[in-house]
Amino acid sequence: MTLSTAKHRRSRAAHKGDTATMMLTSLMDIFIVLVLYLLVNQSSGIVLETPDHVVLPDSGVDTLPRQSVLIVLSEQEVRIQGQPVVAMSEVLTSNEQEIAPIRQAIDRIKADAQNDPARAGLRTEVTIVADRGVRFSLLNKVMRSCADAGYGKISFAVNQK
Amino acid sequence: MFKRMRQESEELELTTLLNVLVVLVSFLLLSAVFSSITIQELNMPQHADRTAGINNASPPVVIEVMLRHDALEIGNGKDITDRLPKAGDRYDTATLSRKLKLLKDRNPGNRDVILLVEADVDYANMIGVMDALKFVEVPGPQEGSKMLRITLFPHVTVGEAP
Repeated sequence: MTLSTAKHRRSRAAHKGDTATMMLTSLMDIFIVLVLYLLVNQSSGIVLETPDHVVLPDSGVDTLPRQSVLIVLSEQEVRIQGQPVVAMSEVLTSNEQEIAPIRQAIDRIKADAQNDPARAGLRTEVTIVADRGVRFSLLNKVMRSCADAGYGKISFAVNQK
Repeated sequence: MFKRMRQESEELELTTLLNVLVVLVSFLLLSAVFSSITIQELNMPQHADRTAGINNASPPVVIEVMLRHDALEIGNGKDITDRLPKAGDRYDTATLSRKLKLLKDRNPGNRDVILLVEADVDYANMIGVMDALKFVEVPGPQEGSKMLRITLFPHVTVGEAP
């Protein structure tokens, strides 16, 4: 590019300068509003991952999830923190009130998190992610196993209505 | 000429700001969570070795709601005061909320309720009834205004029905 054409362009840009700035300003306004909106709406809560085949029930509560031990009850198995722990058929047929493999898995997680302040939620809280068709008898066994392991706060994950 | 140059440099500054904003917007859009999952909190029944202390400190008014496979029952710890049969496939949670609202008006300081569930009730129904125990939605004072949410008994203890 020669100097003269550059100069020419510049002067042309300066002529059109007013309208171009105006357009940019309105675009920027939109962006700023968008950024603010997204910043405000950004939830600080922890995102719960639910498997596709687990359909959560709907509820009107608005408490956000917190850091906790995640227990997923699906049709085939019980998963704790993503690790398969015990088969569902075994839990259903068990006559015991407490399910030993669940209890042991939770105890292990609790021991792991014992001296880590960043994982304090893993010592006291449990979130149960269960399909809407799960029977209470099964839930009761899982809840009892958690309570026996010393977890005082139990919550159920639900879809916000 | 000098004035023109200054105008041009202003434009350039805007562009960099715009770039930053575009990056910010795309980042925030990507990290935004649209389907939100919330949690339904429970009050745990205490261990057997601590029940002695609990009995002394327990509030005089006990509200129990029994969730049976065919009906909802409201009790006061000794006997059952109301029985709401299941209508078709659904539990009558609206009437339950209304009855509990009356109880709440009588004992405004009470925040605890005991929910006793039968073994073969499914989870979705249990959550629905827990919602009805925690709050009730009433129409606002003006026509067409938003539903007002009144908190009933947010501390729900879940146990097995006898």
